[in-house]
Amino acid sequence: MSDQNTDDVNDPAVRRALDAWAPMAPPADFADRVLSARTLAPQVSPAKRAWWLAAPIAAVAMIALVLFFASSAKKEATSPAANGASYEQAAGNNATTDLLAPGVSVGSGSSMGMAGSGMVAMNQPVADAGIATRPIADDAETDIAVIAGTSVTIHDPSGSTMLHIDFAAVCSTGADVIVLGSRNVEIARASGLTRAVVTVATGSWSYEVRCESTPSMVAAKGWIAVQRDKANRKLLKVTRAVNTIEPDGRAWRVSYHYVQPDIRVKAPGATHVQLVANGVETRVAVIGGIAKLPALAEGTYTYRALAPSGPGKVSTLTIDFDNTAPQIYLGTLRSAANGAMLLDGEVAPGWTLSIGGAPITVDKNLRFQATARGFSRIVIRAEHPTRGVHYFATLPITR
Amino acid sequence: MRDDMIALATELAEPARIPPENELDALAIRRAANGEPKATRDLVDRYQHRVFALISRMLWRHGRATIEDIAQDTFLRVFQNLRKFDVDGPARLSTWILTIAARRSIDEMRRMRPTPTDDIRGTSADRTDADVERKQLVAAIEAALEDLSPELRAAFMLREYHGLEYTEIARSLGIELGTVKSRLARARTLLRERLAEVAR
Repeated sequence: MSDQNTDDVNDPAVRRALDAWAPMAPPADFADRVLSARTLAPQVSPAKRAWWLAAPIAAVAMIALVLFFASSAKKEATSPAANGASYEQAAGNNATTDLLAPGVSVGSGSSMGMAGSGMVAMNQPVADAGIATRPIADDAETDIAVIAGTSVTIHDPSGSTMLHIDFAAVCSTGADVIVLGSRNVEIARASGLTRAVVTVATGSWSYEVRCESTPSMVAAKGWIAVQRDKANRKLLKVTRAVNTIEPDGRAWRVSYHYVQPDIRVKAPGATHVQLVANGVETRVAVIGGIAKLPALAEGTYTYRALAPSGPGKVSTLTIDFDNTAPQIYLGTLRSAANGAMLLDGEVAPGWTLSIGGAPITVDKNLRFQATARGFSRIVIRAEHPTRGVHYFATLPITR
Repeated sequence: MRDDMIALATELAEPARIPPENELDALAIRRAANGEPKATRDLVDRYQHRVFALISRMLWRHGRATIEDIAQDTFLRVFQNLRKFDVDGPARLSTWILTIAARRSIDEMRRMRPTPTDDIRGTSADRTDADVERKQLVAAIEAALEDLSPELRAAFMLREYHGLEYTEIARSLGIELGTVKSRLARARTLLRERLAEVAR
């Protein structure tokens, strides 16, 4: 040990105190967590990579064309007609340059056309619009695209998924997408000209979009939740349940899966049941000892029985949604005619389904069937008025 | 800022005080830098206890979740910058990693005020006389370090618990060597005083 360290703590009491301060041990799965989080490493978007490759080629081509036209103009400067031809060629040159401009020459997509009720066929390229799945043929890594600012839940059997975040509407000159973990710790950063690609592991993440022109401001933000989910659990019974509660002073909780329940209060001897929600009182008549409550949204209510002898105990009723119930069931993806894939399934009431922006028809029994062509798997977008936007990805098909 | 941190960490050229067998060899580091799964796991396994030891003592008031977040972020930064680490240079990988962990902890201490949170050192269910005494000693250390700036608190941890040389500490944390020595001496004096109070 060098001289500079002679003032180290030599007092045994002090040393004992220092030794008493046991550090926190890492959790058993810490290495797994770190290695899993590494999958969120920043990536260069395909758009930016294409632009980097295209820019030098475009520059060389521009110089060659300028030299070519300069020499042509010099040779034919005496002819007015020749000058006109030269302008036309220059216009053509400009068109070539535009095609190499950022955001024009890159990007891909597919469109889909309805092929009968409940059947979706996808085979034509189109531009992206709105929140839409972007099916890309045989590109197993790229599956879902969202508009910046959107919050989505992704159900992916593989547990992590690649996500395009399209920020063209909010940033015109490129942007960074920053994925944040808990306590806003930056997990990953990806950049691009019109969109960025992030690989999102299982968990909940928030993200921010910061335009390159104004990096200090958040142009859009949202969250992404990824669940390892094959969506292969059959739906539970989709019927309106009847729940009977009592005005006995206790707290009652009614959880429902799909349809808000029919709640009745058993109050023999009472004339009415008084129900209070958000300060608004409702009185429900008791007929045959039962009061049928009106349709109630999720929330907490108080109620009591009103009898000729006086009001009863105040009870509490909480109605909540059981978010563990499956909302969509996907069958096994299988081959159909002409190289297409066929997927069928069931969905809970209230959800609207689509593939790549094309709606999927759900029949009266809440079943659906869809076909897609040219892809290794299908991603279904499901939207619910209160449950938000979810994406359900299938496992890749085995042909 | 991050580049400065990596450059400073890489420049550190002090002789190793931790036995070489506690360090990954150059080949394993190169493999980890190339992203080989086994090597990256070995790296985390090898250094995670040291990183947690430093961060948990730096951020003991910030709670387990924050400590785990900062530790995870430390390793993510390590992997992002591992190619910049000179495996043939005199600096040890552990010093380099601990520098990153210390800097991240300092940033966190500046960014967020600590809030009352779970006791990361265990529950009171197993309280014994020895535990009580240990807690008093720990409280004395915490009280002695409370007045130190984040850099000097990091310096104290790196010195007393991780065995870094003063010059390593000064360069990695960007503070003067003399300041490190004088402030650490003051911290030790405070610690002795607090321990004397506990003993009374």
